[in-house]
Amino acid sequence: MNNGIADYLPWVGVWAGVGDTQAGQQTAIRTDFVPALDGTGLQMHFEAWDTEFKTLYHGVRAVLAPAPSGVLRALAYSTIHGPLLLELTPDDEGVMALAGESLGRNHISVTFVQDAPAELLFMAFWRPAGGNVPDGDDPRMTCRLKPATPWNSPTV
Amino acid sequence: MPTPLITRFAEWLGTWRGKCEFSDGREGLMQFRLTSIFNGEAIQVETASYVSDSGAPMTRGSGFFSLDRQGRVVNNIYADYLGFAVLVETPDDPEVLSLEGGLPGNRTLAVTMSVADDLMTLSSRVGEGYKSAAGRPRTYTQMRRVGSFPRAEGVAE
Repeated sequence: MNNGIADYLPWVGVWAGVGDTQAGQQTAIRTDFVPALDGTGLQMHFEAWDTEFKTLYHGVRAVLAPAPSGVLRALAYSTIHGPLLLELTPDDEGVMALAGESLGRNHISVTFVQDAPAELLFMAFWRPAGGNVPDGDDPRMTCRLKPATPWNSPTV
Repeated sequence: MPTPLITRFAEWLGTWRGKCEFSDGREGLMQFRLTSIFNGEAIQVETASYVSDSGAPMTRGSGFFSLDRQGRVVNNIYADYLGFAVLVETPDDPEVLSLEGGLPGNRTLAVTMSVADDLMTLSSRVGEGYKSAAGRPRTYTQMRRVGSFPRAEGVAE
């Protein structure tokens, strides 16, 4: 199935949760999805902190947008991997699966799966290009994300 | 302490608007917005152009400036009419940022940018294959800063 930007617009908002990093540390994750490029794209801002918010383990700003061919790709900057171009791989409805190589030749995989109406399962891993393909037991960052109130909005 | 990227581009941050001449002969209004992200590790660049009279959208784009290990600017970009590319800084005068990289379909994109006296100048050309694109029509814009100068994180007043 080919996913389009419109498939992900229901995710617009702030999502947060506590999960584990690929290195096994507990991490507090917050992800914002906002419409971008006059509604033709989707921006994602991702932050994974230690649970006391002293250290940013990983930050990513990404923009998912259609190439002239219609294929969706994500343009991104990662605090670990630097500039990125990731491909959206065809998947089931409710799944955003992005993969690609960094300029440092690391293979990167990022997946969001809508498990329930108010839950996104986030999974990500990276490995040196050409390295072994992880099976289900290999380390990866995982987190169950729930809708969160934007921190900069006044409480009514 | 500002990062080396912000030290170099602090004066570029903010929103810029001006008239634009596109390589295909069209004219419009161009807007660039440059924002520091992750405490100055990278700069996000958001671009949009509009038909001057109607305000109808013409082009949209996005990108990130960052520095590689050699201190060169790397600019991964998206433009809706060009697609995705990774541009790398090429030698030029110190006050000028020149970038070049490959586009899909055996094309190349060369971009030159500078900021002087609150005026941002941008010129870009799309070439084909290995040949220089010097003779090809260019997209050209000069943009003025809109609003106040945003002080970057870690930059003293």
